[in-house]
Amino acid sequence: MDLAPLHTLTLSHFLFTGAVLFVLGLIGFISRRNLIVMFLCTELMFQGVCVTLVAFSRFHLNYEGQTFVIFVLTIAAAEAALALGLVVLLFRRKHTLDALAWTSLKG
Amino acid sequence: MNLNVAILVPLLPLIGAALCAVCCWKHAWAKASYPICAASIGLSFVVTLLLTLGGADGAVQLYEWIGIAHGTPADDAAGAAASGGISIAVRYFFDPLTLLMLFVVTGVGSMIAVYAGGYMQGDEGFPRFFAGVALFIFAMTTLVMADNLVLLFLGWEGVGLCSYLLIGHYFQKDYAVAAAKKAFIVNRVGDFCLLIGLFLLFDKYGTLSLHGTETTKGILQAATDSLKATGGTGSGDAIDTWIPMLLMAGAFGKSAQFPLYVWLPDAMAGPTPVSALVHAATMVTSGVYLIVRMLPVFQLSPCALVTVAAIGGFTALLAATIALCSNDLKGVFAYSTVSQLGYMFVGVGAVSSYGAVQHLYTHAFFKALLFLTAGSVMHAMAGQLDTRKMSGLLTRMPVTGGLMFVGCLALAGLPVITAGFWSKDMILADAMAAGLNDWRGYGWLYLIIAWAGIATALLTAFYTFRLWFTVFTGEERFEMGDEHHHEEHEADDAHAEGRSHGGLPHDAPHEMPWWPMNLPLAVLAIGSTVAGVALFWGMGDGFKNDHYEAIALVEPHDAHAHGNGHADHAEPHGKAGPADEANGAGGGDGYHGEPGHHLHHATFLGGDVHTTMMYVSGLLAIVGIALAAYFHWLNRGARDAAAKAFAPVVRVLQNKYYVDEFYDAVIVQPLRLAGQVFYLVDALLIDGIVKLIGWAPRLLGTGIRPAQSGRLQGYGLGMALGVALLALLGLIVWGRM
Amino acid sequence: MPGLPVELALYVASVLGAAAMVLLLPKPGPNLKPLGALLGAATLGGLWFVLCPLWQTGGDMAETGLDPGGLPFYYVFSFIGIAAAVRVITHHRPVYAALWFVMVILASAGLFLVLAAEFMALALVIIYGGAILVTYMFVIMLATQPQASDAPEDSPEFERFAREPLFASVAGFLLLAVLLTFVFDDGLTPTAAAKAPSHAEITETILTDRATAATLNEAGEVVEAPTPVGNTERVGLTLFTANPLAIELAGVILLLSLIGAVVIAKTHVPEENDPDDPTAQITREAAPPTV
Repeated sequence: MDLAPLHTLTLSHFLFTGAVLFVLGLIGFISRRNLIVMFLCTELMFQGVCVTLVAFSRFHLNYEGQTFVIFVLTIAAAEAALALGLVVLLFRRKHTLDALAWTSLKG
Repeated sequence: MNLNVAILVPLLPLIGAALCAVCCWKHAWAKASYPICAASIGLSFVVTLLLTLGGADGAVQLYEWIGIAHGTPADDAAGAAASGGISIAVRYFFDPLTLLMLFVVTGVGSMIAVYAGGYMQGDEGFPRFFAGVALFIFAMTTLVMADNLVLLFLGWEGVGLCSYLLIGHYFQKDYAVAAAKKAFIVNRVGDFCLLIGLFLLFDKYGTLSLHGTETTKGILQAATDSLKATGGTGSGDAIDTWIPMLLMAGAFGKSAQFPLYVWLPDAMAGPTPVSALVHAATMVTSGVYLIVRMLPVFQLSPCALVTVAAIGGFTALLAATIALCSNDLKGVFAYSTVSQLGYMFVGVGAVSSYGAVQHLYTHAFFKALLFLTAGSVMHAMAGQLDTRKMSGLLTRMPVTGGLMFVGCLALAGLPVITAGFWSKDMILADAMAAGLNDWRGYGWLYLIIAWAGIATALLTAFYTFRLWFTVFTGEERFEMGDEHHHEEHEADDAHAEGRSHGGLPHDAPHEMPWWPMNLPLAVLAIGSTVAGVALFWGMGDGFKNDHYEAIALVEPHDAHAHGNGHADHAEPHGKAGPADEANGAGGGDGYHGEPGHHLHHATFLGGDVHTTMMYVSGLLAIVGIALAAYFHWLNRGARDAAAKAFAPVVRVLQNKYYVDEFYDAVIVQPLRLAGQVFYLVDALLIDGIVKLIGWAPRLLGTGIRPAQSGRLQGYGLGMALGVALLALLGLIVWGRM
Repeated sequence: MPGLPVELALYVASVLGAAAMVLLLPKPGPNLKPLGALLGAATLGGLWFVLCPLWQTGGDMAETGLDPGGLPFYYVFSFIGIAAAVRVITHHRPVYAALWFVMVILASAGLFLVLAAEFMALALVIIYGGAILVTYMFVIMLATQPQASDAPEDSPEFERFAREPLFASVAGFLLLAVLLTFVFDDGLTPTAAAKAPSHAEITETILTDRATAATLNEAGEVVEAPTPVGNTERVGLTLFTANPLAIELAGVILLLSLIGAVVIAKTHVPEENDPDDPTAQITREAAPPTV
């Protein structure tokens, strides 16, 4: 068995990590019922994306990837602010953070 | 004369019918329908007379109705037929047969229409009735003038339709509606067979035109040629027997022969003028006309004509026995009609086509007369039809009684002075002659038929006068029926309020007025006696020869023998001797082959069959009248004793041999059961399928609805799964796997 | 081990990983979390050994100048990150989940350091850990019902039981397997055209003063080498020379979110079942108003 990857750092290492972080975030978003934890998991998805982006940036020696990560951070911040504001409003309405409390669009 | 004027004959009644239909719209116009109808039929009669006097002969084509060319284009019927196409034109053909039928239809029809104006007065459906009558005349004239079988079938169906409409005129009464349906359905059985026959005819001859055109051969010519080719004994092909059998079935349906006669007695539920016009004089004779017209086709089959005669004879005897014990005023005449139609078919079957047509013609007159007088009696008795409840009406209704007496004489066939005698005698003689000459090997059957006919003649005379004596002679006694009648009292102020008497019906029968009721009856009476005799004797020889020769489509040289009163067949034999195959001197087409030449000459009871039969039938008529007089006038006690002695027979006869019950059990009930089964199939299976189709979307919706859970994460899950699956699919498709 | 068995191994590993995740996610029933953890670790390890030969060796990162000594750091940070992420999504208390998330951030920052993107690492820590996570903490504080204790039995039901853990894990790991199939595909080579100018080129073209800013002593010998071009400078240069509009827009977006947050905060939301609630008649599950 070729254990060279154990000695050398390759792009695939970082891509692997990024993919796993992203998927874990997705699973968490779908399966947790607490609204705040749901949004936390979206942030986790962002993390995976950031790792992937920076790895590609390094791989291609092109700093556009990293500037993109800057923007991702910006948007994550804006989104967190607004989302959490809305969560507070939702909490005020029903006094619970359970995502299953909001099913009025049930067909 | 220009034959194009012939279009008026059917067109005038059609316009009359349309105008009468318009009159149905407004109540104030209702009275106008009577003169419209009577005038249109009368004008048709005038045109017919003109055509007859002008010597109409040949065909006139109005327009091509259906033209389907198959394969190679062809611009004539022969080419089209050869390539599988069909050309049907609205084309009228005139020969003496057609003209005679038209004379009967429009002449008797106009008299009946005049009578009906008085009879139907006060009826709610007054204009509707006349529209039906005019439409009927249109259909009937189309039928007899048609030169191709499709146009004939149009008329055929048209008369069936009008019969249904007119029988069901009193549609508020259940039995009238049921009778109309029965008539239509039983006719439909016959019509179906007729239609199959038409298909087979087209298959065999490639055309449905009867007389063809200048360039093509019609069915009749082709059949005659085939007959010549077979040597006069008929061909052995199955189709040549099937076609006449099917046509015969159609004719029997329309003309009420066994086993399709059951509708005619029930059809008496319609107004009496309808019974007279449709079910005595014209529609029921269309079957006879069809067979006479298609005689060459019938002759091609070895046994078709004898079948016609056999069934006709059987029906004649059957119906006469039923009429013997019937207590219904119109019912006796209805069975009498069936019986006389049987005579006509015997005539046709004995290749005495002009005998049949003559009987048709005379029967139209006297039967119409009889029905209309029966209608007058019924009218006077306020709807009472049971003859046991009326007696001795002669003093109250002398004119009606006298007119009915004349009609009864004609029906019974009193010698010499009634036209009925001459025509009936001719048929009996020809049937006997065919039997004695062993025509086509069926002599024994013809003899049986002839003797049955003789027995029927006796019975006819008996039951006819049984009815007359019962109703008009004896002590005066009557039980009125329960229908109010307002017709001839319109001017009476006591009945002036609206349509209701407000009081009692009339409680005694009274005579009908001369106009519009008794005068047409007088005309018909003259036609039954004097005019009919004149037609046989008084017309010039030339007219008679041409007349008869043209009607007798196949045995024309016999025609001149009969035409001159049976006394001089030696002379015409000289004119057209046995060696005359190619000689067209007999006029008309025909095969002068060996056996046919001597068909209607025979020796019976020591003398020439025609002369002998004259005496025999005359004797029978007188005997019958005498017996009826004895039992029903002079000694009614004897009648009751005889009825008691033969009680079981009487009961069977009064129940009409239980034929209706038999049909009900064998045909109607199973059909009803089948109907119930099909109703269930429809309600459960077909409706079930339709409902299933309705449920399917609903089921689908119910199945998919849980996906719309309203939960955000559920939708997210769906999206994630979708992306994963799509990516997987993409991997497989793009071959990374 | 080339060819099909690798894909198969990937999917098998995904299935095992999904199973591990299902066991780890909070749900009713016996506590199988240790078993789940073990299974998860085993999956990762097994996957590692299967995938080793496939990872392009040498070649790709060699010319990027990454120090091979960063390898153990990669493993450490990666492991911490993944374990912390698992804890984020499986912990039954939101505060702990947020704290584990901080751990994930730190691990990511470490990975960035391995990739020689130090500015990114620190920016990540500052913005995420310093700002976003603090905001989360505040909201958690505002919106959590009080609990008796920290024990799992006392947390509310919706915290303890994940919904549809099986389907979520299946979906997630299916996606992971597909992604990894692409990752371990041949043909990943640096795109020559995408290469940015090297440090040397930059110093010669833009940061020209740096090139000649070598400190020279009196004898003309180089005493201090010129300051190398750092990640911060490179990122800054790319941002401001190539994407100035994006910077401005990012600022606008932040302003928008600021205003939005203020508006949202001021919105008066009536309680459910409030008699003054104007939307009462249109909610489907509105109970008869009783206060």
